[in-house]
Amino acid sequence: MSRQKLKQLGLDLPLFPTTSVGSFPKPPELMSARAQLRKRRITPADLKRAEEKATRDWIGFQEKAGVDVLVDGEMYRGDMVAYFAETLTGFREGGLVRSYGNRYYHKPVIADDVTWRAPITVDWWKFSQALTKKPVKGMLTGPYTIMDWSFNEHYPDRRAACMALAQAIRQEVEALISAGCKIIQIDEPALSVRVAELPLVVEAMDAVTRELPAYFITHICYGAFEHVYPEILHLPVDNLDLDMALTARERHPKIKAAPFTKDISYGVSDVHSHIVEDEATVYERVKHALAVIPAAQLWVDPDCGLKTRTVEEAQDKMRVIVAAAQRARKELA
Amino acid sequence: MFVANHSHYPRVGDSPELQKLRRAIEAAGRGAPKGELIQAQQEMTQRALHEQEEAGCDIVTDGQIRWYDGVSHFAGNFDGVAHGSIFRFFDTNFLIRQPIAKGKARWRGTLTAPDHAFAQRAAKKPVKAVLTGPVTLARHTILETDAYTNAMDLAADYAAGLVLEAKELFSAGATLLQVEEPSILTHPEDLPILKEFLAQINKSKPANASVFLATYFNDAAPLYTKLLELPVAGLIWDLTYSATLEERIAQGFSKVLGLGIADARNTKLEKPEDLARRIEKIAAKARGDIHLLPSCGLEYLPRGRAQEKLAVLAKTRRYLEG
Repeated sequence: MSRQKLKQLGLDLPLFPTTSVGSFPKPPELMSARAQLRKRRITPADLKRAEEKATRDWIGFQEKAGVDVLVDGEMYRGDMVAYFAETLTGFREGGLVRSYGNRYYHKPVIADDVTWRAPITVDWWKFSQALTKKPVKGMLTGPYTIMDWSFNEHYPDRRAACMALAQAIRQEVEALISAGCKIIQIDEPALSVRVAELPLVVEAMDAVTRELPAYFITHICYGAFEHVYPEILHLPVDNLDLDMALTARERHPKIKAAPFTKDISYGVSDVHSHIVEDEATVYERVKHALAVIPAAQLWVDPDCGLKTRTVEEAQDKMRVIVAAAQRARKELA
Repeated sequence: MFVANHSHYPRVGDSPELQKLRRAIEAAGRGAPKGELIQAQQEMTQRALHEQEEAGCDIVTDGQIRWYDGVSHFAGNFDGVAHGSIFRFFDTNFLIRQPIAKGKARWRGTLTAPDHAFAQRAAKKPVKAVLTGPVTLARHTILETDAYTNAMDLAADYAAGLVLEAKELFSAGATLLQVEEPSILTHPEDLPILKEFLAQINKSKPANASVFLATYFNDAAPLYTKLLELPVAGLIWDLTYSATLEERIAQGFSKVLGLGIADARNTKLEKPEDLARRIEKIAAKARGDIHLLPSCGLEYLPRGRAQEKLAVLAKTRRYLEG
């Protein structure tokens, strides 16, 4: 079904398409430029040039490595929620909150009506797509996750905030499609923790994607899969992107009991480890995936964004994933 | 009526001075001497204690400044348990290191007691010690061993180790001990293990010490009666998840009553007069002491707002006491 949709969109992808979840590490020179801008030693235009160079480098790397569906690497973003909050109306920047370990982010605050006023990601998508003939994914954060990972000082409840955000994100999706984007990933990593709110996630995603001509992916990670599967199959998207590298053993029985009805971007590499898995390990994970997922539905990628790794680690992990997928095409097709 | 911190407290703030610990952790990761990290942890603990006192707290905590998270901090102190990948903690955007049981879990020895003693020396107010309970530890642990057939078996071994830690805390001078068990709300079948664990702690506690149980991140109302039967001096409730819990409590309460009434998951500040109205209804039939707390640990909030939440509770008490 989804293969058909991809073809209708003019996309002819190989078996086991390779992709990444979205973010790549920012190279040291870009990190330095961001710090320099904070100290007002360079201009925003200088920073943008550094971001463009880093984006060109990541697109070039992915092409050379043989990745099938590319991402821009999010060189221009800090946090996946704050980035959208900075551009939509209604938000103000919050203080630092810990995410895990020694990692912190500025958790946004919804302080007024949320509205979409201008394209947020479209220029970067156009910039990246112009660098390659391979498809580049549009990368958005979903309304439920933006709501859940923001403080709400304005709307009366979570539902009202979420549905307002859904309307705003839909406008961004429409803008991406108008620009020519055919594969759009709308990340909802927050969805797996409040099971009772899963219908709200589905409703909000429907408000974002209904009757729009694109292949939709949603990324979900590090949550209680056992509580939301198979209900997540009701999400109105074509492909669910899941962290599976370390969780397959627990999740496969669930998938066996309730077959996966969508495409899956199946995580085969642990993004929180400095260790680069060898090709045999990743190949075995791909092979293992086929025990519960039909080949035509299987994409392979890392468990999550690779931005917390070094550039070298992220590149090595992607090369291994591509090599394992290519071997799988030959040996397991 | 007492104003109390719940458990953790933000360990960094927005200013460079308040990011010293963050920088020290990074430096330690690059091989800097461990002493520098310890000093940064101690300084931040002192600051956290001071900020709680400044906000008007009668009962403070050490802020859990040294903990990676409440689960792996304790589970990682058992032989046979390794740190796994990260895992979302309930419905938060905070990720814990998920423990993996690879063999029989055996407690290695004192963990938090020296930190408690340090905090008590640095604080002007009583410091409440906090332990994550065996059910929450076990329900977040992946079993990769034949030593256990299910999480409840593992919880029993976790309990044995935590009882030893509770003894160490009492020996270090702790008179207030909070056991955190958010997972009991989703795994009520583990109540017998929790009950036995709390009974063991009670046996080892000195007469002047009190043990409280804290639940949060789910509606405690369905388990209310059973939680009341547990052998603890007090219960600390998260009032932000339930439409009915306050009414149940208002019907009468005989233990120490911990009201997690300031929402520690949202920056919106409550009005003291609104909180006071709700508390008045409950206090009318409460026979024990009342503790006013945030609904859970404060590390889910930016540092400034965390302190303001405690200040709101202090203002609420003043409002109630006229």
